Amino acid sequence: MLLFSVSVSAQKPQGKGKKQTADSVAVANKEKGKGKAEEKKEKKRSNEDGKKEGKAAKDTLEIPADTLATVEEVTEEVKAGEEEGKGNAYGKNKGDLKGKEFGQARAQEAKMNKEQKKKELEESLTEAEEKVIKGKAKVAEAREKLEKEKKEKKIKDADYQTRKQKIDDTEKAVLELEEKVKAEKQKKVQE
Amino acid sequence: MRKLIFPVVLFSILLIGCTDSKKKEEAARIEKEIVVADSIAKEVEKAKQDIEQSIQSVDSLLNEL
Repeated sequence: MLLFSVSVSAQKPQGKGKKQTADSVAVANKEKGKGKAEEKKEKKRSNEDGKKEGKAAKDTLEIPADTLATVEEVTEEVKAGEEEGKGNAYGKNKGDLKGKEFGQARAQEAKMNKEQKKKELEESLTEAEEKVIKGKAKVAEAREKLEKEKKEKKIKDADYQTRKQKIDDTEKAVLELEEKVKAEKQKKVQE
Repeated sequence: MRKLIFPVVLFSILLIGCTDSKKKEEAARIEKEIVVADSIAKEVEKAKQDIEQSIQSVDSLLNEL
C-alpha cells in the first residue's frame, strides 16, 4: 500500500506538469492564433490603406481606369500563381520553346555561314584562275626576253642564271596555284 | 474504375517517354547539322586562306620578274 501511495503521489505532479505544459502550449497557440489574426488584420488594414492611397494617387496622377484595372488583374494573377506554385511552369515552357527555336536559328546561321564561305572561296578561285593565266603569260614573256638577251649576249652568265632561277620559281608557284584551283574544283564536283 | 487507372497511367508514361525521345532525336539531328555545317565552313575557310596565300606569293614573285 505504501509503495502504491508513493507511486501515486509521485505520478500526480507529473500529470499536473503535463496538464500545465499542455495548458501553456494551448495558451501559446491561442496567442499565436491571435498573433496571426492580428497580422492578417494589419495586412488587411495596410491593404485598405494602400488602396486608399492608390485611389488618392489615381486622383492626382489621373491614370486611366482601364490600365489600373488590368494592372490589378495581372498582379492578382501573379499572386494566385505564386500561391499555387505555378510561377515556374511558365518559365519552363518558355525555356523549352526558346531552346528549340535557338537550336533551329543556330542551324540556320551555320548553314548561312557555310554558304557564305563557299561563295567567298568561289570568288578566290576565280581570282586565282585569272592570276594563273596572267602569271603564265608573264613567265613566258620573261623567259622569252631572257633568252633573247642571252642570245644577243647583252647579259652576263651569272645574271642569266639568277634571272632564270627567279622565272623558274615563279613558274613553279603559278603551277602550284593552278593545281590547288583544280583540286578545289574537283572537290566541288564531288560534293 | 481501378482497372482503368493502371492502363491510363501506363499509356501516359509511354506517351511522355515517346514525345521526350522524339524531342531528343530532333535536338540531336539539329546539333549534328550544326556540327557538319560548321566543319564544312571551317574547311572551306582554310582552303580559301590557302588559295589567297598562294595568290599573294605568286603576285609578289611576278612583280619581281
